[in-house]
Amino acid sequence: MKHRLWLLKERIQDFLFPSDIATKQQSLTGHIETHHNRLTMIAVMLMFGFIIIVITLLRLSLTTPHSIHTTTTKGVPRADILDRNGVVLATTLQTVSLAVNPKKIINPIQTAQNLIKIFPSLSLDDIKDDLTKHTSFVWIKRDLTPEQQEKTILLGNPAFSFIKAYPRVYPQGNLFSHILGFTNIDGRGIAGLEKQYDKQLRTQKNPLKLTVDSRIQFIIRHLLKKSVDRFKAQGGVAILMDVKNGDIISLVSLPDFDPNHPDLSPAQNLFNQATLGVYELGSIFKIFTISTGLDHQDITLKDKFDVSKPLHIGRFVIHDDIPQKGSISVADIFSYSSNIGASQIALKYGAEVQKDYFKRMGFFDPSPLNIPEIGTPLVPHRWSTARTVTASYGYGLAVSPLQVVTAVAGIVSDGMLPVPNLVMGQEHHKETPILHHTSVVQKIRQLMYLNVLHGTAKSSNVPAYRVGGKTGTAEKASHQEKGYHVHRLISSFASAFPIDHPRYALYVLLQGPQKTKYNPYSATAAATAVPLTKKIVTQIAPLLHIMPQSPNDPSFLKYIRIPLYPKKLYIDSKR
Amino acid sequence: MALPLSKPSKRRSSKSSWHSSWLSRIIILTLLILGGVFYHFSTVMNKLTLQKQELITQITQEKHQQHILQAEWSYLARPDRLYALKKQFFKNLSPALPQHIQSLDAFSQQTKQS
Repeated sequence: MKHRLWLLKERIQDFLFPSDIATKQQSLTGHIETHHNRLTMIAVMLMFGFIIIVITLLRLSLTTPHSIHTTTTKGVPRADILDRNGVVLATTLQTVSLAVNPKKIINPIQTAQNLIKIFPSLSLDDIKDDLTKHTSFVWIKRDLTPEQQEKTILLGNPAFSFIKAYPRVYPQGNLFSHILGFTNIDGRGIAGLEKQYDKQLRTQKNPLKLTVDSRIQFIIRHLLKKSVDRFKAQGGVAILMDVKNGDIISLVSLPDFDPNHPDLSPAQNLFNQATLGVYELGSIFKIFTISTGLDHQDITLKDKFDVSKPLHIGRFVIHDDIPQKGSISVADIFSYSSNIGASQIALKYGAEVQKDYFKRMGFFDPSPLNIPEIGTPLVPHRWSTARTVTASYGYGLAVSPLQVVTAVAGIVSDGMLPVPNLVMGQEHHKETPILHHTSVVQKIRQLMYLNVLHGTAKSSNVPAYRVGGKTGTAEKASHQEKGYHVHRLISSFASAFPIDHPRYALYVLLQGPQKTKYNPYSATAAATAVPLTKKIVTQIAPLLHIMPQSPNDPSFLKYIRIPLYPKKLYIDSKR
Repeated sequence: MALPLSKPSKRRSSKSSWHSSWLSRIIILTLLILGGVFYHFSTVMNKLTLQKQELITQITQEKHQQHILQAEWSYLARPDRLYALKKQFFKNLSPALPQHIQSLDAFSQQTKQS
């Protein structure tokens, strides 16, 4: 508008004073150039502004959004561990914790009041104290819920920082503690399967599927714990193994611990008695002594041995807990658990044969189970005659409960030693033969069933599931007294069921059971481990899809009857 | 093929012939159509890529949720908790005894007899 007025004024002047036209034209050209320059300058400035806006937009859209809060990550997620039915046994959950840099806090009281609204469980005074500390890092709250985190972010305080972590969580608590192990604060496995498969669990996303069954594990642990409490024992072990492939269905060692908080448990609770502990296990070894004699063809079930007098071997005097008169058959040596009889059988085939068979049964080497806590058996350097005799009934040689159940599973199934296994898809084919003659397998099954009907394991009889087994009561070795504690026992029972075609081998062991009101006369295996086995088999057999069958079935009786053995195998249906 | 655009000196001299060349027109038309098609495909691809990213994010979130739910379910369905609930609400419920279990064949035979 001004410009137009100015042009109008100029035109009027030109009309009134025509002599100045040339001068005015020059002046007008100068004005136009000045305006042109100004417009160019404005355009350049606008262009620069536009370029700055474009660069800013590009930077914002191409780079990651900037947050006023810092977020750091601790640890890495690990793959899950599942049981054979897909139940989660170990998993990793992402959690966020809140930390504060007090040096960046402008108004600690106001900040504390804001925080207490989000975290009412915290103390206002504690938060105020934390926020006024002369440090650059203070924990406020661990494991925030997503809602709490959102509210904290909305406070918009740059002093807050969120720390992401991947803690390992074991939803089943103590149930699988000795199998799973646990991880350290950096998320690395330091015990059990967590340690054995640490690299796989950290690098692969696929879960690790185990052979164990959480239902069976719970029943066995529950019943074992009741027995430990009932008999005031120091601990207990139970292992259930699939005899065909060595899969461990359940492995319990008591006392145990909560892998979510292993530091809260006493050190002795972290000790895996089932795989790491090695013990002299007593008369359980008569299974191995007699199967060796039968397989090496030094004895038959009809052979008789005089067990009426104690046996003197060097400085050892061998007695029987249940003394028998005169000569008894191999079947009765097994049923009455005669140490004198077992010693004579071992002496018949000698030390070299015994060593050879025991080696093939896996008693001289650590078990190949896939966890790191594996005990090394204690084997005597010199295998003397006395050692041959004591080893025949389970003394002088210390092995783990896992080794015993593995050997029993091999002998009652097909005479081949299985490789114990805890991880699905890692089964090994049986390659080590324990027995040369498969007929021995049937004879051992007959002896084990006879023992349950008429021998030391009477109270384990579950007729419908046809259990067979052998008891073992060992006195604990005492280093202080250079001998054995007569009243500190290891009572155990090795069984297999159904005994005519065994599918599972079960081994239960009680450490130091006492005489209580439930067993006032004895703390031996017959009074402690055997009734426990009966309860376990009764409850787990339906879950293992074992159909109840009549114990008086003629074909079964024909298979299980020992020829010429006088005692009846028919079971009264009222029992 | 040398297009007239690359050689402006010659373009002026052969301007009339270039305008009349049907081949050049077809090439230009084809290029325009192709450009349009490529632009369309590029737009569709961008949209699909965005959709894919959104789906991947959704799947990741769903998997994360599923993971948490599985852990929660495993915690809530742990056998010792179920046993405690059974003791509280089903005091008479006892473990299955052998006489409680029968094969389907035996059961159907019993039904027929009755």
